[in-house]
Amino acid sequence: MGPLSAQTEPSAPEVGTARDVIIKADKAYNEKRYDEAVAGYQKFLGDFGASGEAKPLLPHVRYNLVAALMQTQKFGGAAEAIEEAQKRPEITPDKQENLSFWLGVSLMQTGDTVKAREALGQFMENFPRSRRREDAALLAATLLVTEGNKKDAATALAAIRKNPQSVHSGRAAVLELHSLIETGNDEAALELVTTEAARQDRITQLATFQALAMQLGERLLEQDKPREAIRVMQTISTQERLVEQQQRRLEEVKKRLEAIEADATPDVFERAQMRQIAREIEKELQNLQKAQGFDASVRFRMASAFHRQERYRECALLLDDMLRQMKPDTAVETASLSALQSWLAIERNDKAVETSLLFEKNFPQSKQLPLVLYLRGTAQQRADQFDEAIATFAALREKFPQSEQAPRAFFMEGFTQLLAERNEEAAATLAKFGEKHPDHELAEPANYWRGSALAFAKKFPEAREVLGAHAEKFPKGALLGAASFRQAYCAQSMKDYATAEAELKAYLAAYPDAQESNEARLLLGDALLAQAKSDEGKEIYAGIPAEAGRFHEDAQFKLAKVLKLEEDYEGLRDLMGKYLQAYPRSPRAAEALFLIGQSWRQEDQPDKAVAEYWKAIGDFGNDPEADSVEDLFIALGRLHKSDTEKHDHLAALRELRAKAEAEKQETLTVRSIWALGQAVKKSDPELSSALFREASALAKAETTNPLILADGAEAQLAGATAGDEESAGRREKAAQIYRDLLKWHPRAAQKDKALAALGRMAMEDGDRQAALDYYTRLERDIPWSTLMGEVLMTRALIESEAGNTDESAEAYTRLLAAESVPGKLKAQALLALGELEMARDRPQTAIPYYQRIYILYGKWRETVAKAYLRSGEAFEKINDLEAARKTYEELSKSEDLAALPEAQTARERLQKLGPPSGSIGPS
Amino acid sequence: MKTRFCIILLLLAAAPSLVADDEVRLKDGNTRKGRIVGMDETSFRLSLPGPVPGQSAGTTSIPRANVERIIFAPDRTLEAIRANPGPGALNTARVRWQTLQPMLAIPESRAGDAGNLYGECLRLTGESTRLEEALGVYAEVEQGAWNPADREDAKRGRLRTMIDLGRSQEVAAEIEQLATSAQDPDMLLDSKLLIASARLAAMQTLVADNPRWHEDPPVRAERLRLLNETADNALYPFLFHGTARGQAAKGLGILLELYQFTGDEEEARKVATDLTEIYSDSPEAEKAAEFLKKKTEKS
Repeated sequence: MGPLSAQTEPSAPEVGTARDVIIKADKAYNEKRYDEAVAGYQKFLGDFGASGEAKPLLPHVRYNLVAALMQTQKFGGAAEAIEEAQKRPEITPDKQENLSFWLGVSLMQTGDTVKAREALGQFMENFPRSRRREDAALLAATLLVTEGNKKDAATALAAIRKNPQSVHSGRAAVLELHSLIETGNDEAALELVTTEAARQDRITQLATFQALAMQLGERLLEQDKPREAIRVMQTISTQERLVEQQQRRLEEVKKRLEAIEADATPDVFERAQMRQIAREIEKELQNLQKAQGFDASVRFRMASAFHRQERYRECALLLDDMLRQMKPDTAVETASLSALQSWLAIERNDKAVETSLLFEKNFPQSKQLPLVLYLRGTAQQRADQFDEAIATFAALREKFPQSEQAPRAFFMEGFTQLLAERNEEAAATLAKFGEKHPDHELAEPANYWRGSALAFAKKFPEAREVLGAHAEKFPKGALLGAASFRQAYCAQSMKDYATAEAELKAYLAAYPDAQESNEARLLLGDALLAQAKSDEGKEIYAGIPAEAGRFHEDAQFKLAKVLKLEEDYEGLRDLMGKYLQAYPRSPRAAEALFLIGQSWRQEDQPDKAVAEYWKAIGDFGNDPEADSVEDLFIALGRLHKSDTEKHDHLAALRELRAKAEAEKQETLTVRSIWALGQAVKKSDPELSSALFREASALAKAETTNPLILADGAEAQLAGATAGDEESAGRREKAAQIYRDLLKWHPRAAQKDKALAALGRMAMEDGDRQAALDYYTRLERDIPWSTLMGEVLMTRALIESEAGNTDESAEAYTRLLAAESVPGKLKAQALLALGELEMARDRPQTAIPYYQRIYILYGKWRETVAKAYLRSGEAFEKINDLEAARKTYEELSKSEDLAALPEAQTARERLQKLGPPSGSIGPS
Repeated sequence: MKTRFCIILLLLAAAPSLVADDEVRLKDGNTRKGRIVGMDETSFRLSLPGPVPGQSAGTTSIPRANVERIIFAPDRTLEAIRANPGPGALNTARVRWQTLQPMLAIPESRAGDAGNLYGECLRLTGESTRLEEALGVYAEVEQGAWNPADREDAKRGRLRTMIDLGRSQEVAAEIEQLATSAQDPDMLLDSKLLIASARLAAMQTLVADNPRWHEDPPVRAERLRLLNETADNALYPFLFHGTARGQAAKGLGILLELYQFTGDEEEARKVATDLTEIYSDSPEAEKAAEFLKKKTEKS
């Protein structure tokens, strides 16, 4: 309870009888003129208090005097008066209860805290059921806080807070939190804050409570308890919400205060309490509205806590928001940099770039800008935006040549050029770096990568020179081994096998367990064999351990190749047999078997070759994880040359199918039916299609080779040419198989086939958007596909039909640029581009397209004839009749094109145009 | 417990006259008290209070043209449904909605609220036919309710239902629009949660359609984009309005689902711990606790 305002001095009471004095004092009291009442009651006590006739009136007078003094907030006098009043046993118990409580309040107000607490204690003991009991408990606890006994205060306040009936639990929570923080009892403070988080609406001094929570959070952070700090700071509202809440609260308190004051005899304690609460909230609101960076301050601390927990996403999101919402200042500058680093930590490179751009905009003069630019370049590089990264690194060293990041950016510029496969540029940049920063810590990697860049650019002698000098330049370097290896690699690439051999041997002697050592062994084997040092080479290959993975496998097959050349068929079979035993499910198992088969054939024992294949099929035919079984069937088919052999092979496949079906070997059943389809593909295409359909109908897409699925889908489509119901059903089946293929085999070689077919079907169904979606996916995922021409051509037609001329032209242009597209389609695309230009009434632009056709694609006669004719027409349109005439003449005189209708049209045109100007005419 | 709740609801629904009366203020200055039990284009039907509490003295018709204003009494049935929405309250919510539906456009009526509560009960069943029905109810409230707040709630309900139905793509633009135009922080938080749910649903569909997504770089990139957008939006209430406890917990719930879906056990554990420690009173915390318990048992 805070200090209450002083009242004005009362006027002098009038002289009268004891009765008159009391009546007047009571009247003043009832009319809330408490100063007057006090004066009246005091006069009565002074003038008549000792008289016998006044005695019965004394209880009433003394009680009312106290009540009036309390109303006037004269607590010093009130305390004395209460002590006097309490001596009157005639005072009723309810009034005694009030007097007892008021005594505590008065003593508290006069600053006699110890006595006040004793009085309140007495009150609680004497009147345990009083409605004031909770008030007294809160006051007593508050007094403990005032006295500095915060430990006991916290205990007392906790009891009030935890009492669900207490109206003071909210106020107690604030005081308790304060006491706990002051006494360093962070654990209990944390418990309090998190418990109260769900019921903050009952805390009137919410802003104070949250400020204390922030203080606690900060301290927990200092103590390196980020998790606990987050728990605390999550309970803090935003400034806006807090203001809103407290404004609402203030309105409620004011209403309550109005109600108290409207009462005939206002409850003095409650009124004082409400006034104080209103004042506190008003003060909180003023402070809150003035406070700058309240939210930012909380968020920055939270971000810091998340950062310490390595929760970079949370950290970055918080900081990123800060730098977008807040005025740029030092704190935001630091936060921006942290946000950028956090985005990088979780590989959100796009966000990192965005944040760095914002940083540059907000803090163009910041000392951190070079670092920010460096991080931006790193993010761009990680996002494969090599050109952008190179530009960023270049800009950094140009703008901040003296910065710590400038040499790093220089190195990264070169390294990024290398990643972008701009090898010669990279070598040049890294060379310049070496010249400018010979002692920098990155000088050694720069030299190594410079040599590597030259090697990648196939400038082997230059690369060898750089790498050869590496050890001398950096005798204690970390990349000495790697440089030696790369140098030897260059010798090998230059076919200088003797040098390669010597250098690889030296390298392996010095770095037998280095990262590149097995690759070096493989190269050494190659170098030795290239010099006809067969035995030594074989020994090296054989020595590459199984743990070397791909290098071991390569070595095994290289070894097999040598054995084959040496006609050591037994050795070859032994080697490949062991390989198959060790890696039965390897994708190269079919290759191993093929080599074994070949060896038997070389020894004129084809039956044994066939038997090897059948054995492998028997072992792995029903194993869905053995990827190369389909290849075995294809290779097995090729072993049978004569008709008799082929018939026997078919019979064996049928037998296999029957056995697989009988034994319910699902995978083998599908494979054998498909293999039968493959076997009769040329001799009986219809039966082949039917078998493919059957195989695909039985196949489980997720475990079936996409080759079988694609053959099945194609066979379904082949049988769906009619417009009947059956065809529609087959078409739908084909679409489903293709969709399954895409779903379960995203890397299948048949993916483009599936996408193109689905696009085609969508087109046939009139769903152009779906078709375009499939084509877009094909263009994005398989740009090297041989179907690209068909796809781009269809796309161009769709766009053209939709009136999107630019998009159509763009598709044709991309088709022309695609390497995998056959000439015929390119010629058609050029013709279409010419037509688009003609339709736009731009004959001048159309002509070069037509000309390119007859210059570059003469093989496609029909298109060439059309191009000539349209070119002539275009010349006519621009009134270049001479050129038109020449074009028509070329067409009409071409022997290749003479039979085509365009040649006849050309002749008619020539006739119409007449002889060239200046000619004399037919002789 | 559930049965008891249902009985209470039924009692409340069956005894409208036990609750306070509506007050019809007429243009001539008079007032009529009772319970509005129906209306048509020209008049309101008022059930008049009888001499015995709980019994009606009959109904009377009041021409709409004579009515200045209706002050609707508090609706205890709706409050009871609101306290515990879900399949258990479905029948009561339906009855209440059907009763109040004609008053959707009448100022101060609770019809919009009733529609939204019924929609929520339908939505919480998770059954597709009921979700479709919820869409219809929300659409009706969105178009016809007098109260803009009810219309906004209905919009959010409709969008949530669309996400539940796996049709988030259809409403993607609408949700984005909601997020960018939201002035009210609550609406902003809700729209962020809607976006997070929609992105999570889209990611789940993407992965179902591409079970070997990790082998397909474009799909992998798309999945990563959806993952990031789910996480960023789901975290928004927690990070920026942690005291909006309901929404913050919902966001963390979505995040937990995301990490469980992606198999990121470590992140899931952190989020589950946030939920159990910071929002222990939320329904999401229960699920989080179960998750943590299973993890502990496993380890």
